[in-house]
Amino acid sequence: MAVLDREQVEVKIVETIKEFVEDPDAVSLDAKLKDLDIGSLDFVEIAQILEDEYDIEILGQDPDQDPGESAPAAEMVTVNDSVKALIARVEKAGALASE
Amino acid sequence: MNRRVVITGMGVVSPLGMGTDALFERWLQGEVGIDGLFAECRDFDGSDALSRRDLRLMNRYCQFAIAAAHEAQLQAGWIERFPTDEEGIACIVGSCHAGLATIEQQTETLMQRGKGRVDALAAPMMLPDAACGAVSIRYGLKGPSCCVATACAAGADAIATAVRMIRSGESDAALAGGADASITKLLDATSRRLGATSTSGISRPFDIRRDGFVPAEGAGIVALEEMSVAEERGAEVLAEILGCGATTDAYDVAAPAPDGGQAARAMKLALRDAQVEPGDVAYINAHGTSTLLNDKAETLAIKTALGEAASDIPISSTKSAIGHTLGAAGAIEAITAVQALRRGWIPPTLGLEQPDPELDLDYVPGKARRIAADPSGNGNGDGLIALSNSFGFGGHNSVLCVRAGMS
Repeated sequence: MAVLDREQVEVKIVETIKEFVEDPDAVSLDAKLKDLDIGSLDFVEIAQILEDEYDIEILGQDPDQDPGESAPAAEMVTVNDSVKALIARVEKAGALASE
Repeated sequence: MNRRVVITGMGVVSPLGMGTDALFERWLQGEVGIDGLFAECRDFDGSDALSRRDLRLMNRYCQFAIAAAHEAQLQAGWIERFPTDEEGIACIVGSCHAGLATIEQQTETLMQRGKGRVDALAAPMMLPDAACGAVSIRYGLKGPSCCVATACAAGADAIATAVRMIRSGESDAALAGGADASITKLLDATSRRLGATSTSGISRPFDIRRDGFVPAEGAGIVALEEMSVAEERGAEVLAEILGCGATTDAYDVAAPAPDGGQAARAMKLALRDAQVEPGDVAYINAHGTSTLLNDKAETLAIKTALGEAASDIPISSTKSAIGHTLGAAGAIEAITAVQALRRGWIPPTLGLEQPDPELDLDYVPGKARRIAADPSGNGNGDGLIALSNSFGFGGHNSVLCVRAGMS
């Protein structure tokens, strides 16, 4: 498994979000997901893109996890929230380099 | 209070192009949208109307539904302003195989690459209500919504469901219809082994050489409104849905009841609901699948339901031009029936060159025909009347009775 740099993954997440939205310039860490029209399925797709990019598995880690729990609507409000959540999954998969 | 339901917008994606006019005009000219053994919507380009995000998150049949719903709303004037608040608008989209293509693709991925490479987005895409959800989310429709799953009668049943909702006062308006995009390896294999699909690639309903239906894809959506709602906002009324009739064969999963008894009863119920007589019917858009069993049973059903009037009513099959769009068929065919009445032209049953001697009604073979302006001789000042028949695996029989004036 690749050992990934946290900053590198963060940049990849933000760049992916920019590819998803109509106005990439509107994407910042403070931008609200709702304003960017980023929904629960986008979050899942970004996770899959990270899986493909880094050959890791970060979805379906917790067999007790309800699929709806990955939805950003409840807990994730901003781009930064989703970056943190995805980084946490990458970390849980043991793919991040220790700081 | 008697609440009447009218059509103010119509949208179609079909193998004969994008839009209701493309389908009708090309069918009228005798064009066929079949290529090889299938009829695909080759003119459909999702990127015309859908964002990259939509294209990623929706499978093909949902994209069709959105495109058809958009056309219907453009015509109805709903894109600028809804006819009522969004909570009063229902969204009923039927489908036959819905997310089957996704299921097949992801099963292959699962078997070949393991569960870690299965698309997490497949779960919502596989749902039968994916198109209904996609349309309601896209346009913010907050009235009741559901997917009607009555196989090849789904498009018609979806419209009938919406009509009943509006009549009951549960909603004041609705987007309703059907969508399917299931030309897949699995469905093709099983349909062929079942003997349901054509080996010749020719859809020729009521012809003695007919050898099964030609699988197709597409969508049809109508914008429905309670009549006073449409009138108050000055909307153009394209047609009125006068009646709906639904029955079940309770006979066989795949084969229609040979005597067409319950199909006939569905037609009678639609006429009774519409409060019209058989002699008032100017046109029948048949289910007309080009299968041995359907075309025979449907002919008997029409004779049983309409009696002596049956032999005088022109009948044609949209499937002769675009194949069988499955869950979309009932909606697309109701739309073409409205188009026929409004244009005053009956599109032909294409491919019908050698009539089956047992099937002896007027199927309008080969060439379009001017519609009789006043078939019943009773004036028909309010417009002409058509029936649209839809039948499905499981024994579902759904008939819509529409009235439209020539435009």
